[in-house]
Amino acid sequence: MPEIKTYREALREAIVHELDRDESVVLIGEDIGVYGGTQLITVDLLEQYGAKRVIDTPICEGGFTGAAIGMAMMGLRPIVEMMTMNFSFLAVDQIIQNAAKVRYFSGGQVKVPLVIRGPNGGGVQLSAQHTHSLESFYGHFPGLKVVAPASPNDAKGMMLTAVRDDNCVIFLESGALYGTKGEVDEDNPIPFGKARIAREGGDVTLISYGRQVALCLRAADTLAADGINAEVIDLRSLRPMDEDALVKSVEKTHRAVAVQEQWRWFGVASEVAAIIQDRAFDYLDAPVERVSGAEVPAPFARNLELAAFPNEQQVVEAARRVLYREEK
Amino acid sequence: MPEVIMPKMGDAMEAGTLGTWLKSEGDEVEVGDVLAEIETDKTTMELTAEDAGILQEIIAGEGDNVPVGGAIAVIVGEGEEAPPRREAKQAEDGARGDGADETPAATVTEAEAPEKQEGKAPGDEEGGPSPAEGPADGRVRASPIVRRLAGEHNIDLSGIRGTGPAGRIVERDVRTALETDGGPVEERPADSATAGPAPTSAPGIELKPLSRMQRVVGERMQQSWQQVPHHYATVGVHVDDLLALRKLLNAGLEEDGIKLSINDFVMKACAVALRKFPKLNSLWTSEGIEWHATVDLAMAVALEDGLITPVIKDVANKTLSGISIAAKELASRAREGKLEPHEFQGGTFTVSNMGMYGVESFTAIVNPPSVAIVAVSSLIRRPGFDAEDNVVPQNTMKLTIGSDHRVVNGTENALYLAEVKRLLQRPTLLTV
Repeated sequence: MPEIKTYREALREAIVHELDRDESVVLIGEDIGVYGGTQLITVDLLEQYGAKRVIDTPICEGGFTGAAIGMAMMGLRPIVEMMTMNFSFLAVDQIIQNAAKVRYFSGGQVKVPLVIRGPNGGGVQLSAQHTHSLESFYGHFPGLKVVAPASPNDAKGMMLTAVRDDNCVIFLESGALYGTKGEVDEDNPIPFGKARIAREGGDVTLISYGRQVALCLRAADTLAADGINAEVIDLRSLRPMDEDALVKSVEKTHRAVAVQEQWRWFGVASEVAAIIQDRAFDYLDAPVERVSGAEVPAPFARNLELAAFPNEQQVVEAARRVLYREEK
Repeated sequence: MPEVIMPKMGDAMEAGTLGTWLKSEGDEVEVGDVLAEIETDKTTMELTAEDAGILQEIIAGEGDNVPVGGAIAVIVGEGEEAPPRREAKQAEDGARGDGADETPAATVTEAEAPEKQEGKAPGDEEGGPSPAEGPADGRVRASPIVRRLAGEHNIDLSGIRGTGPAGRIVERDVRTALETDGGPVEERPADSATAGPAPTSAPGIELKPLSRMQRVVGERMQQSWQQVPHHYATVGVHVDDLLALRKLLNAGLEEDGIKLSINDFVMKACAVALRKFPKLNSLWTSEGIEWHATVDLAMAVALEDGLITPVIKDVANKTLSGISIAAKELASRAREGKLEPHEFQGGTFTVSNMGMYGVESFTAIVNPPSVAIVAVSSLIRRPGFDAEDNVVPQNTMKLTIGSDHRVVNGTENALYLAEVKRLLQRPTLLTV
């Protein structure tokens, strides 16, 4: 029976489920044991599973990520916690040079079943150095899978899939969503590469992922009041991406708006726009619109932070533009 | 800054002629005010203002032929700044000296519309997509889905006005066109009706240019005669019983101001007979023969310089008096040139009556895309034989059906005409 849980509880539940299911699953990261995790995802797990499976580390992302890659190569299934994904910059050499490539270098003989998870994106006033959306960065490299669930159920289901995957999965949690609630299934792994239709509609497709999905749903409500029926697609999995879902929706609506929190250049929205023009060109009635964050390092001040990220009005206006309706 | 453009008033309308201006430059106009009269192919329509303000500039003069979507005038709303005057802008363009797109300053022609679009400041677009008068560079701008739909429905995009940015034709424009046209836009060879030898310029001649209506009627008749293989059949109908019934009915209807004509009976009989021969009530389309369940009967009405066919809807199910009222009303407005396009389009069958001119018999040309037309001739009073072979005076009227032989076979023509004849000779059947 599905129960109402928070995004945080859903993640913890998935990790516990996998720790119980498979002895090779281990957790590694800063402050995840004694302290219970900065995001409280791993509360009490040290007591339950012991220090061999819940490993507190020094402040050395490159070191413990490298260690986790080694464990994975040797048959364990580590889940690495980045206190925030911003700290993964320190481990990028290990992630890109080893985690993403060892399987390739070894001709498929050595797998790297590794999950690197942590909060991604902004919206919680962590300022410029602690506010990055790293999906397009990690999504660029062959050998990595990148997912960004928006709902508690997807957080759990995709974590189950991530742990069971034999490749390195970059698991981007939305820091701003840890406290949000939703129905969560018991044991329902959600496959990668499958988008979720968060709302059905026929006039325009709003495409997003992570915490921008909620923004798109609000924008869809506003548009509905104006007689515009928007479809909202939650990509969930960014690499692999569900191209068919995009194409199918645009074949129906003929218009698309891609919404991302990250900066506009080289972003997921650009990739979405490219896929649509490539595979659904003959169905388009207007160029694909992108709604993105402002081209500045994330500001700290609440008012400036709000101004720097996409808002509902921008999404509504972009939708009206692709429908050739005048702006209000 | 709202621009007044030439509206598309009918399926085949590509351009309209500005008749009379009813407002002058500088006049204040309210939404709905009649600005000018527009002469289209077949009728004269009133052009009403869609925006309130000052009529800042009249672009099209009386008698100018303006393509659909082309600019006619500019209305400046309250608080809006007046645009640079046309002449001033041209001077500016000339001063730029690039020479490539110079336009003779004195002519106000349709070629200028795109030029004007090009001259717009970038800021002009900010108020959202403004209906543009045409593509900036003569290219048809259309979104991919529009091109796809155009291919599927055989639509000529050059006849559609784009409402997207820079005149881009967007999906809603095609959907609107499909809805109003109900099908593919008819392709017409340009000016085919005017092809002919050059004027002789002999002394004593007077050269009269074709009116819009002559041009359109000419093109359509030429198209029909060249493309539709015609098949004809004629019957003589004894109408003494019909005349007696008509006299009886009209005596009773007089106080209601209704007077049934013989043509009302003929139209009713033609429509009722189509129930048994529905194939004749059809349209020849690019996809096949489109059968219609309802008889929307086009009635040819002669005008001073042409012909128009107002349509009476669902004639088979109308009473004789209903048909009579509709026919009189449509014919009178047709003669005044006041028919709306929807009132003379969409006929599924045609009746043409020359009974008032003493014509013994005539053939008519099929009115495409419908596939059959009945020509009604005059009553002729002649000696004939009654049931006992006595020679008696008889009133006879000839009906000639002309059909599109691609759709209707000779036998079907004959059988249909026999049914019309039977109904007219037993006219009480038309009253039930």
